[in-house]
Order: sequence, then C-alpha cells, then structure tokens
Amino acid sequence: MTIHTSVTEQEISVADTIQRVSSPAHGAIDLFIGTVRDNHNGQDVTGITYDVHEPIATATFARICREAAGLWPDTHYAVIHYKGELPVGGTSIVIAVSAPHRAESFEACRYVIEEIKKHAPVWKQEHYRDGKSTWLPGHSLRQESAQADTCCGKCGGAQHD
Amino acid sequence: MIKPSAIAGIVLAGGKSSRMGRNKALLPYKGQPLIDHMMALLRGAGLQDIFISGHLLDYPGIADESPAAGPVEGIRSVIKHKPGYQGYLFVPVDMPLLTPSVLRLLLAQEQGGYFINAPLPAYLVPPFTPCASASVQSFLDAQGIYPVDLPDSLAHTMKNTNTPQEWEEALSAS
Repeated sequence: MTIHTSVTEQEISVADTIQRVSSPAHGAIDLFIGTVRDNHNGQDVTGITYDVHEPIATATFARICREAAGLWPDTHYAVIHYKGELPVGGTSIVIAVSAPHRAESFEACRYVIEEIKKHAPVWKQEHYRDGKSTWLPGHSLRQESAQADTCCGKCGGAQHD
Repeated sequence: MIKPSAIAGIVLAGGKSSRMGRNKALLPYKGQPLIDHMMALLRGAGLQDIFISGHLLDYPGIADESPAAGPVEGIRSVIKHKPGYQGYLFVPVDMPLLTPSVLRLLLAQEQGGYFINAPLPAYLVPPFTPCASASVQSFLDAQGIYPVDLPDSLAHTMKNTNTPQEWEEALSAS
C-alpha cells in the first residue's frame, strides 16, 4: 500500500497523480476528477475559491485512504486537492486508486471521495455572475437520517419506552 | 434494495473477549483499532449511519440493557434505541476479513438475510417479532429471515477471531 496526499496551489496534473499509484502488479487505476460547475442552487457560478487547512486536510485524506486500504487489500492511493481560485471547468481534486483488479479500484475510489466530502476541512467561496460571492462548506454536511418514531410495528410502542 | 441512507450499520462490540484476553474491538488492525476498521467496512458497503453496540472507552456506543448477555441483547438494544430505520445490518467486531461486497450480498435481500451456517453478519428488516432467546440463530428464525448462499470464493472472509491464535491467522491472511 502506498498513500500520497497533498494540497497544491498549482494546477493539478492528472498524469502525475496516476504516476504515484501505478504499479506493475496492478491491472486497474480508477480516477476521480472534481471540477468547478457553472451553476449551484440556481445561480450562475463563474468560479470557486478553495480554502484548505493543509495539515489537517492531508492527514484526513491519509486517514481515509488507510481505512480504504484496510477494506480493499493491496490498493494504492493518491489524493491531491487544489487551494486557491479556479474558473469554471477547473480541477479542484484528483484521486487515483490503483488495485490488482478493477472492482476494488472503483469501490475504493468511490469510498475515498465520499468520505472526503464528509470529513475534510475544505471550504469554498462561490463567485457568481452578478459579482457577488458566498462561502459554503466544501464538503456536504452529513444529513442525520430522519428517525421516525417507529417500533417493531406490533407492540404499539409498549416495548420501546 | 432499500436505499443505504435508510439502513443503520452496527458493529457488535459488547462481548467480553474472554478467550482473547483483551478487548477485541481495540486490537490494532492495519494501523487502526479494529472497531474503526469495522466501521469503515460498513461505510464501504455504502451505509452512512454507523453505530457501536456495547461500551467501549472513547467511543459512543449503545449499551446493552443486560450487559454480557450476548449478541442478541446487543441487537435488541440497538433496535430499541435507534428505531426508524428501514434496515439494520449487524456485523460482529471480530470478523476483520469481511468485505464490502460480502455485506452488499446481504443488503440485496429485501426481507433481510444472513449466510448459511453463520448467523452473523445479519441484515434485519422491520417489523420485528419479540423473541426471548439468547441465540442469534433463534432470533433470526423468529424474524422469519432466511439464509442465503455464500460463494465459496468468499468463505474465507467469514473467519471469526476469538483467540490470539485465530487473530494471528487473520492478520496473516489479510
């Protein structure tokens, strides 16, 4: 298992990221590339500024990769996050995961991006066409799942006080 | 399949670990406590709401109503204290070789499921039928859940680790 995590203010090189995980024993590399979208909640977005707490972010990325490596054996990881301003279409994050076979590479890569979305200390400032901008969490805050007051469905709640 | 956000994932960690001689949940596995690995496993299977059954230092857990009464008591306590989910996936803390894909085989069983000859891991879907038995198998039977086949190629993932020797075997197999 190898893990590389970093934060950069330079344009992220996809080829570099792939290079960090490639291995002769691996037959699959899965790649996730996050890019800036031109709309959010109905507003026209012209760009995003990313603020990243670098030491905590790289450590969080590494922890998530270690977790994934425990689940999908013999996998390699590279996570590179951009810090600074990006126009629409710009690349904010690149994740590469290599594995002996494709199934693990897909699954582990999905795991890493989903966990980063939930836990990484990344904030983003969206810039809109009307000249305004707003800060929002770069990771979607986890929704507590709605917990209705259900029970076994048979006891009418008597067993669940 | 029920959507993963409506399914609770639970690591059963309320055992005494008497044969292991130390708390199994905190054994180091791949650079982290086993309990953390097992929680990551449930997230790897796509679940979002993960709970621990049992009391572990520094971890928020759901305590058994009758401590040391076995895994069924842990299952009952979770169902009681975390109602509202459309499904509950229980994994024992001491199966480090389980994989997300094995768990997804169970999650695909809309009426709940477990593997033949192995009552845990188990996927339970409400409504639940009260059952006083301390045996997981009897509890599953009472819920009307049927076992499913586990492909031979995945049989090794079901290895229990109750003793230091079994633990060493699991470490070398992973």
